[in-house]
Amino acid sequence: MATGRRRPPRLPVLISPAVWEEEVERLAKSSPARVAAARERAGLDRDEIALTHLSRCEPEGADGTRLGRLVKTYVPIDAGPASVRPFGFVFWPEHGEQGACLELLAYGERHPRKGTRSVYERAHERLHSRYRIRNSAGRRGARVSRRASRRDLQAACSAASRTVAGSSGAPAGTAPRE
Amino acid sequence: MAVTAKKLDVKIGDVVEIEGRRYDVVSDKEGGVTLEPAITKTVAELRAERGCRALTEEEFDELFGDLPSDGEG
Repeated sequence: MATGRRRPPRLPVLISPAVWEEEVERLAKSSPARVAAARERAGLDRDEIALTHLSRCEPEGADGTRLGRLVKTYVPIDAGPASVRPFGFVFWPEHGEQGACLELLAYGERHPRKGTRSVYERAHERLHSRYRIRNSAGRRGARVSRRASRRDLQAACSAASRTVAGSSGAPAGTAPRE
Repeated sequence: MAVTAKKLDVKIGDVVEIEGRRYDVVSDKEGGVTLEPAITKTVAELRAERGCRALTEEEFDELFGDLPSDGEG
């Protein structure tokens, strides 16, 4: 909650070369995602980022990510509707020598196709580190698997009623393994 | 021509190296796994390099407490 102290309208953004390489340069040079990130980079370096372009991340996302006390912006960074800004930067707010600033943690698609991590999943991994990813992935997996199992069970029951009795519930190998 | 598959003993969360490049083994969300370029730099490492510290809860709320959230992540 804001107090009486004056808030800066903009915050500097710190971008580690290693993070930029892992988040942006992993993408094909002419891909829309990489082009969009590169277009925003100069503006972030030069003009910082306005707080009005930021929103808070979720402490517990529906996908199992835990991004409490992180902030994000959609890319392209403008006032357009979210539906035409398919990418996102996720930032870690921190306190440096010059005061508050934002460290780039992750970049990517907000809603990628299956088989690709969303920007939120990428931020979660970078935030919680590899050791804890495995643990958290297990917890997340359990949650996803329970959902999947319910779906699978319903599907199996439907199939069983149409064909033969004897289905034991979720078919092996159908639940996401994450 | 028959293709012989190389069997990998890996699980989600592992990192594999192929021709000098590292990849994370991640879920494809359809029951299988896929490879993505690895995420290796953690927040803890970034913070240590820069000598920065996390904002306190009060500092965070002061700066960002009234920002919207969208429920997506």
